[in-house]
Amino acid sequence: MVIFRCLLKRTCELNNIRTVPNVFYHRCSVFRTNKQACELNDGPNSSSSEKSSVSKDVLIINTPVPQDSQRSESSIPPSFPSNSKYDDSIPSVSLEALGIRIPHALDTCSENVSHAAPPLQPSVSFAAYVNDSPTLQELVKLDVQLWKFEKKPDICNYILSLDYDRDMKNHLLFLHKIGVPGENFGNIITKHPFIFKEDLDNLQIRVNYLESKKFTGPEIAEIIMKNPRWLSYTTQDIDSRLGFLQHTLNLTGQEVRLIAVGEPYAVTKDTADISILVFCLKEEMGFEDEDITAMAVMEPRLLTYKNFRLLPTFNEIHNEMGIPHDLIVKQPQALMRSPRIIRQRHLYLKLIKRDQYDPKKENYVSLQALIDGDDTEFCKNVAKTSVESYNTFLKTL
Amino acid sequence: MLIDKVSCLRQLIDSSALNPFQILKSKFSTRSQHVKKTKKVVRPNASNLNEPQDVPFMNYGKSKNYNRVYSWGLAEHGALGYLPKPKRKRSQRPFFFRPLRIHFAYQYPITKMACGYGFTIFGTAKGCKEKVFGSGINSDGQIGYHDPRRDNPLCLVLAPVPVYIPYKSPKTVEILQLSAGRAHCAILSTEGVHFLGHNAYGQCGRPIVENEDYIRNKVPSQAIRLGNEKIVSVCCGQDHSMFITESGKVYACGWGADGQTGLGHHENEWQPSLVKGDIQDEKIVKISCKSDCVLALNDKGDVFAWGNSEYGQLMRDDAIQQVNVPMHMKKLKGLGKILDIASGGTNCAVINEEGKVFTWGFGILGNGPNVYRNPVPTLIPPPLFGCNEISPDTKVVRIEAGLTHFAAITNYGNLYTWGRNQDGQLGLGHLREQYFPLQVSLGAVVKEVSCGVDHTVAMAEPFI
Amino acid sequence: MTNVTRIITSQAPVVWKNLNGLICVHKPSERSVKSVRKIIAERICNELNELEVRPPTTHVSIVGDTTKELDVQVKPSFADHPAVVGPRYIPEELYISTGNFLGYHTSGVLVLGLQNLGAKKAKFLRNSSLLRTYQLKGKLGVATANFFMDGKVLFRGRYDYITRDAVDKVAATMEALHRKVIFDLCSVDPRSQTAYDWASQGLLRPFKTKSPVIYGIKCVDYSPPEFTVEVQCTNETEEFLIELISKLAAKLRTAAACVQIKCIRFSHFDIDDALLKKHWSLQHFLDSVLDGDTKYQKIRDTISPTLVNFQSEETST
Repeated sequence: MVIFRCLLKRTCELNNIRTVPNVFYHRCSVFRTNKQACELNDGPNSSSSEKSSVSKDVLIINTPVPQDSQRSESSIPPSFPSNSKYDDSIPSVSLEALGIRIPHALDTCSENVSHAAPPLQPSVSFAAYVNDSPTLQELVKLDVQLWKFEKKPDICNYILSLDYDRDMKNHLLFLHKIGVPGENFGNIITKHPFIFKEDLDNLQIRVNYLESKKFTGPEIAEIIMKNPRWLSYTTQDIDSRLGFLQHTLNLTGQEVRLIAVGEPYAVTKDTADISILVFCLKEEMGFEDEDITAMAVMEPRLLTYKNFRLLPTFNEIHNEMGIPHDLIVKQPQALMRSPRIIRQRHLYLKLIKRDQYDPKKENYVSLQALIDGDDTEFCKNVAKTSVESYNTFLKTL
Repeated sequence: MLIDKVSCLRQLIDSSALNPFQILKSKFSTRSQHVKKTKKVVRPNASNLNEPQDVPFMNYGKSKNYNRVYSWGLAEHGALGYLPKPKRKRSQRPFFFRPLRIHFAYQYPITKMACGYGFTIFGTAKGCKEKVFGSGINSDGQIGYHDPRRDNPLCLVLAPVPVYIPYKSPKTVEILQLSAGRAHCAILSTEGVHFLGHNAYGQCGRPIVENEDYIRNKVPSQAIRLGNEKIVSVCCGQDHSMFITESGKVYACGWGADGQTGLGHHENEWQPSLVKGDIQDEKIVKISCKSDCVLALNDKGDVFAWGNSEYGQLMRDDAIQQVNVPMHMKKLKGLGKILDIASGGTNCAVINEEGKVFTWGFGILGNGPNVYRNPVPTLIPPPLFGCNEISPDTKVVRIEAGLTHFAAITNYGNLYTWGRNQDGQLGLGHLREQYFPLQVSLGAVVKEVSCGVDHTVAMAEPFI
Repeated sequence: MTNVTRIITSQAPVVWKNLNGLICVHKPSERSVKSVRKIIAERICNELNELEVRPPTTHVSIVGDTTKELDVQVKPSFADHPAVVGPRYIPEELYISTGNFLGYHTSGVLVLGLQNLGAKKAKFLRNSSLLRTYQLKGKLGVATANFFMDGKVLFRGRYDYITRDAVDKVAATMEALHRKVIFDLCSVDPRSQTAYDWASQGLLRPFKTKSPVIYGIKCVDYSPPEFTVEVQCTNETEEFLIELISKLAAKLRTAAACVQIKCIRFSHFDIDDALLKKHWSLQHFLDSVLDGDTKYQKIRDTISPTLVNFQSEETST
């Protein structure tokens, strides 16, 4: 019994990939003897002396295993059935008499075997397949960062099953239609590859919903660019989330739109996180409701921050520097900065006695001026000293 | 607590029953409690320490007792001021090889002290009722007459006892200096010098009485006066005494067999007589003598010496070993102005104005185990006293000699000792010899030190 | 000074090769050394990836009908494309080791070794017990549970009677006592000639032990309730230094908590040479590597395993 490996066309192989964690592999088909071919068709243990009209020495090249084949290799008996008998009475017939010619290795081949190649092996990276797969090459041309998916087998499996013409082209056209510029496609696919799973009609419905809520075209494009996952949420989901935002923060329609466009992640985040954040702002930091609304509208990114990231900064600004709430409300970006930078600059101003945060007095330093810009600008505009002295001060901290 | 509030909040949101913000109203607080799973969120700053908190308040203030006395060495004779409980085997002699503070100094304001051969005398501050205390060997009455049982005077006093001295005005008299020799001691007060103890050679400044029983002298002799001269300093050698007057003249009395009296002869002399020789016209400010070689320092920083020179302490070119007339030590000229002198049993040491210590003689000189004699004054490397690049201005300011060991005090108040250590008199925590200066661990700033044969006493101030 | 050739390049591999040595970095306080290493690795890799990196290798494919003439196509390989394989330089591959270890609360001079050569040099520095200078700031009158300012306050005390003199005295005594301990740590018999020879030349370096050894303590600033103490030591740990302030205060009959620890010098590496966080970029690192090399050579040439030679360690208070 001889087993050879089958040579298959590569592209259709890719469709057959099933995975074990982090490893992609492809099943190889195997040659079988005529005996096994018969058993395949007729079932095992059906060999009888009537079937032995074909000689056991004849080899038959088998067709590739069909894609939807449920049979695994184990179902095919690997060895001869035990009841087969070697029948000496069968006269041997030469192959030439039957008109069958075994191809010799050094014969000139008259067929085009350009499709033949060794089978693909399991791999941990797309690099093994990308040179031979036009779909993957298309993704690379779109600037999709395929290496980021290596740790997530679900995404990898999914991408390997994609076909550019069948799955991807229409979605990309859709994105183009709603106004997303072509250079962002890579970014979007990297962030949310499962976008291709969505039904195009569903995508259209979701976009229509946004248009019905008075989002303009460019705004929608911006939302999708910033948060591609938005398109995978159902309309009801988005609706309830927007409604939740509006309700918690007491927003008007226009303000909701501002927040949605400014920071779309705030809409798709867990609503509990936003509630906790609002609670933290109100109870722990002591802002009024109007203040919270104003801050959210002015700086929607604030809503994506966790409460324990904002608290140290707030502590620094309010307690150490003594800046009251109404001033912080005017400049909510300050809450998002790292407390270390604020502390450094504040202590430096304290050292040179320029820490004047009361707008009514002279030499007022606004919070915005404090956090704005890098050190050179800060030293020039606010502290009015050289950068070297600021650096020396930083080294004493 | 915030954590509970968060979990309540989640439940409310899930049930979406009520508006959560109507229920959970709490006071605005600046101090936040950390949500779990966050490591170090609120950056620590010193404002944590400013908060008024209900914590105990410790109020020690400055030390009330500013004079501390530490002693260490052989404790068997009671010279240390206390006798420890015998923790060691009975066959071993009780000793302390680490400095220990004397309780006695808590009760009385001790300002002066002197170590003799196996005994110590302490002097109190002005105004204290008892002027002088003594403890240790009393076989010759060197610390006075003490008979707990009548007519049975103690030969060994194991705790400090007050010494009776017949002062004319005890309320105003002040102890100026104490000095102790082998079996006698001198107490210089504003009323003059009183001597206690052995007088077989006339070292107490009074006529020698044959077969005198010194221990039964109940009352010490009268104060020594040197005519119109006011005595400003007294120094006791092994069996002789020397006085320095206000004008810098030196008087001596006592045993002179080795010429240590410097009076030009080798006999005993009980009458304090003027010492001539090279110091005749000099103003002497300090004399140092532990056994029988005497060093004298004048106000210009020159050193004069006389007495026994068996170990080359006088650095003479000839072979004369007993010099009974003071001679100028020319070989010390090159060392600069001398600020302090110390003369031990077999060796001598001086400090110059840079704070460097020079030793010569025989014995453990502080230059390592291989050096046991120095015919010329040799420098002890300053790094040994802690003078290095980190603290370059460390210098030695005082030096004292015991019979076989030295003690030096630096300007930072650190005490360094070296020499023989058979009874733990170096205070280093062991009984091995120390061949170069090593610091004694005292938790205070050392001001004065006095060395005996087998014990050392130091006076120190607390840091604060 | 060895000859230095200046090259202006935008080639990432050239830069990568030269990032091989010691860098001197200012570690911010309240940050672990691990996170500092991570940030530095990320920054270096980000900047390197922006330079001209190695182009993709070529992929040779022979295509065409096998019965006819075949075509050899040589194209840049997709399999080596950064989008497929990842960025050319990743932080996990940049090996950073530490020359001196600072604790979480300590800020100041941190010497790191980049890649292999740097690792060797850093290891040498680590094991040499070099002299370090710290500035410890303490606050009088408060005692906390962990001796540091973020601990629970246990009790308070008076400190109005403390003078600058007193602090100096205590510091001097502590310094002298610590120096005495060096003899025991070095396992040298104080009765031997070797001990005398070493001690008379200067301070010993404890070469057999890893216990902390203090060579100098000085009070550099006293403005009650805060005071600053400069400590010169080797083999120290952060806890040891924090407790030092409390011990000092205990001798002064009061309590204190440590408020700040700064490492201002590590052998020849001074805080002036240390790079601030905003300067953690490639050009600065390259300059620092050059600087670090010269200093390492100096240390290597002049270090003595037994003696702390101050001329070579450039200590100056």
